[in-house]
Amino acid sequence: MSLFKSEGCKHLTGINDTKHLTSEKEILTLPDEYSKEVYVPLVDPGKGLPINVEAKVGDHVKVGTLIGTRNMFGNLIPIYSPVSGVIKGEENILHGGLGRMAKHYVIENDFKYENVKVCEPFSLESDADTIIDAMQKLGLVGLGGAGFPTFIKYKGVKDIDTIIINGVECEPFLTTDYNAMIKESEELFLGASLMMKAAHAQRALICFKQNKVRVYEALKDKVHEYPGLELKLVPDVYPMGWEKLLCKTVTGRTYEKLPAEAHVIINNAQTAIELAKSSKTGFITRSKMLTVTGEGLKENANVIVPIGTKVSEIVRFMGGYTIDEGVVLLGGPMCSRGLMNDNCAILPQNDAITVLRKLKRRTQQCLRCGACTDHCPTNLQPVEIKIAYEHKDMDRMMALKPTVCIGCGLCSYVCPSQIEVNDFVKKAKALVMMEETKRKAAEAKKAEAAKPQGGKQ
Amino acid sequence: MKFGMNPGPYYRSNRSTTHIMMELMIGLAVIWLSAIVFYFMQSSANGVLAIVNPIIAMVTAVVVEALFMLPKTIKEKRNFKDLLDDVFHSYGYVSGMILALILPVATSWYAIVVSTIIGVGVAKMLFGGFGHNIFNPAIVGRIICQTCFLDKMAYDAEITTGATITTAMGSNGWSLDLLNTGHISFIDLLFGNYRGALGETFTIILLIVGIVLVIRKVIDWRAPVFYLATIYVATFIMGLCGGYGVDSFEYALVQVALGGVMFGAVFCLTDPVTSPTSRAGRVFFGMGAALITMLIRYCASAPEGVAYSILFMNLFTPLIDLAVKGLSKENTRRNIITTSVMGAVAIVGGLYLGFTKIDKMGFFNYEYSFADKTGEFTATINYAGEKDGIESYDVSVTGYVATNTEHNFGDVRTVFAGALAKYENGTEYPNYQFVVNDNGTSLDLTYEKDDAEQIIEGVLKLKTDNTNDTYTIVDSVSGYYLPTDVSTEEAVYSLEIADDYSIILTMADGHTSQDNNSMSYASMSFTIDIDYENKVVVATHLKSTGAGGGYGDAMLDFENTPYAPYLSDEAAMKLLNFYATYVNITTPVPFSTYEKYNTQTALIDTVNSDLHVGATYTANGFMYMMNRVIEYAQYYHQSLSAGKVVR
Repeated sequence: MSLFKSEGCKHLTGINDTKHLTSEKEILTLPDEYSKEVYVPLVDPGKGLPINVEAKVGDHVKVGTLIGTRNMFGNLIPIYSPVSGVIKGEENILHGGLGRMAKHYVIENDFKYENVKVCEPFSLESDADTIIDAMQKLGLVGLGGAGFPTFIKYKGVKDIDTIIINGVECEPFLTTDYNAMIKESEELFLGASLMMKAAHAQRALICFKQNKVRVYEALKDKVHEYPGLELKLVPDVYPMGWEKLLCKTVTGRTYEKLPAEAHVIINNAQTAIELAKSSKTGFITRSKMLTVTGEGLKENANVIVPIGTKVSEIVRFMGGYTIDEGVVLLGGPMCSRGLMNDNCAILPQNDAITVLRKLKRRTQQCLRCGACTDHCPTNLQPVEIKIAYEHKDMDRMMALKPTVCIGCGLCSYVCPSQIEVNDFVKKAKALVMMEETKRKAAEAKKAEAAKPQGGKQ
Repeated sequence: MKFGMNPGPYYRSNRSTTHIMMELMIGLAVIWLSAIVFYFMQSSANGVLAIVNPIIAMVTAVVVEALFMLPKTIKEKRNFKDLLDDVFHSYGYVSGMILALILPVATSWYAIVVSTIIGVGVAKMLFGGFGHNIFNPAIVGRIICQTCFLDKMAYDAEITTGATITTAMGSNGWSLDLLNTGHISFIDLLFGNYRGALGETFTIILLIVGIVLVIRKVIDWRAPVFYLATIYVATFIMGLCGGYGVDSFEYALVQVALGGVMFGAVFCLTDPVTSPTSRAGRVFFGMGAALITMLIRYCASAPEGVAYSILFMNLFTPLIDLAVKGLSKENTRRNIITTSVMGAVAIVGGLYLGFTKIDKMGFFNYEYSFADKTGEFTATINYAGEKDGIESYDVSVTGYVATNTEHNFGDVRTVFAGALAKYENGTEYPNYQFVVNDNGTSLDLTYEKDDAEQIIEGVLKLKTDNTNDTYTIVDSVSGYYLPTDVSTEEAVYSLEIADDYSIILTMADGHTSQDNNSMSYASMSFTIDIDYENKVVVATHLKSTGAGGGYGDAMLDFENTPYAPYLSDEAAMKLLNFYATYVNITTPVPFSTYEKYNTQTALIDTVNSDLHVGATYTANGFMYMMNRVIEYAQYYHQSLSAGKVVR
């Protein structure tokens, strides 16, 4: 308990119950009939810019055939076809990450799943550059939700001593990391070791919540066979899976922007598993385990689906919706935004489809209890931001720094008055970011004007 | 399926504002229940008020809020059920309950109603309702009540006047002598066994309820803990500077337990709407309130400073919010410095107050008064010196017995006094004899006012002298006094003994004996010597004088009357008999009203003679005074032995 600072996390009551819906159930594989067509977005999932398209409509593609490349910080990240078949054409459908319509290639699945090697197989004997290069060639992105290209974290870093394997999975409902870590523990260890190798790190901390007893039992015996690997049990609180909080909890280190500042690289557990799998074959990740769950679905289960499958198809496989009005989320209920429709393709970083009944709760006046301030992981004062936003007090809003908000939703979760606190903070964040840009531009203009004229002509 | 687009997260805590408020209400109900139990133990009239007052306040609050919400409800064409729902979620009744608990038990109903209307209506609804009020509605109500209805706020349903213990201690130099100034023990103070505002006295229960509410996350601990800690530390230093030594711990505890400090800390400072939202802000808020409480309590003329301090800090809340804006992990240095500076102010304040405000010697040049329905007594007690382990105190007590509707003895006594005054001129003083032929033991006394509208009858018991069939009335019934507006010279009395042995008295103009103004004065002085070793009152020299002057001086010695810890039955009998001689009380029996004043045996004539009731009350009042003197003397003696006070 802190005197002045925020608590920074909260145990979500009932979280175990929501996980229980799928955690111990059999993992299903999506039958072929539900993935006759898969969709590959032709936009960058980060900013929504068009990618360099390499394949053309009508091309026959295999699993791993290059569709296009996207550019991130000057690095080219390949985008591959997740199935084998023919590119039937283009279609404008909803992009789950951007929340708006985007151009997609429609690939007709021939269910042969012919693989193309995108890189040479590698192992623990390979050197760091080979592994990082393979990460880039594999187009491996963080599978925990953000979809950040993995190799960028490793490229050119120095003084990394710790790799953190994030298997915390603090969102309610989600159980994919949990199941993957139990079922593919060998790959997890191998992937973590490969990552250590790539970063020249001395240790890798495999982190998961202390209430995940089965994960601990599955990992505890074999972990000693891999030098440098340690299991770290973290408290069952939200947002424990947030990088900064996790890094502080397991290593005691803090950083401002990137974990590398604290000599740490953080990767999702499933990313490590997929890296290990690809290292043996040189094939890309073509399918993804999703937790398909929520009170709005007839069945709840973890399903392995080809990347690019439509949400509507997966919902159909699960028996369809059971509610008339609700939200469909690509991910857990805390951070995700409701989809406009379910005509939307699964991306590699998606880890769940959650269908929930629309919350019907009485919104009351803010009683200024400060619960949001008491729990904000980034030490914001959401209630003050809300007041400043409502009064359009830009200076006060800027002083409250809503830009550091990570959108974890804890402020709305704890709000006893059912106020959409998080929404206010997000709006204020957008306003402040705009204002900052504006002010910077104005300053630059001023500086320009103040510059002494003349000089070399 | 329809796709909802409402903003996330879609997973919410079950905890609602209604939950918080209901848990708060449960906490308040516990205090309310304690108050009901305590006041029923005092008297049923008080107990009923303790039940009724919060209900009045809550109903008023709900009605006021409904009236404020009515226009909007009509405009939006919503029905009565919606209105009720809105009122329920506006939580005015919580404010009403808190207000009732911080008002004294015998506050008149209309004072409560008006205070609630202003507190909830003006301080809350006019500002925009729940969540928008700047000031704590209950505190505003309390202050309005104190300002406008001070004489309608009584701490007991049956006693018209009386100060709170906090005020009493304030006027006695904030010394640690609880027993002396407040007439309660430390344990009484902690458990609320004394009169104060309805809910503020139960320190221990408040503390427990507060801790439970903190654990239940209904209230935040920062403001109350820093509030209490600041007061505790500052008063501890006060105690040290005041020379209490180790007892400073107790001194500081007493200061924290006094008045509304604990109630304010648990239920008013933690009101989320009117306190800062940030954790650092709440720390500053609590400390600021503590400083202002101390300023008002020790330096201003209002010992009950808690309400004002909270109102003041409510005013500062937006400023505090503005001052601590930013990320809560930043500015730790600023927070620590601010806290330290406020703490330092508290310590310096404690030093200053300790050296200037605590009056160590206020103790035995002491004046004490108590009042109840029977009258009012004031005592001055002076330490008269010590010799061979025997301490002497000079005590003088004056008082009057008021007339009231229950016992109109005052009328009768006044009439009788009038009769005496009339006879005094032509008859031998001080004895009057009425010789009667009847062998009964009573004599009817009747008087008529000049317009003969009202006839008051009283029965006067007379001392029977069996040998010559005479009835004796001793004249010097101390304190027979005529109302001030009728002087004995101007008033015309006629008294005659009728054939049926009635005394018929006619009184001239303007006699107001029917009113409560009629009163009988008396005064008494005595010296009490106490031998602590043998626990005996060695000698008590008692002199009683009637206000009329010269009706009788008498001496009474209580030779070696034991006490433990109060005067014995024997002593009580002696005193009463001494007194009763004047009015001839024949069959004294215990009178229960005075048990709470620790008079072991108070006595009264069982015969329905209002005349004697007055005399007995007077005797009882004096008896009580004597017991108090012994009590003080013991306490003072102990304090001296323990080195708590110096002579």
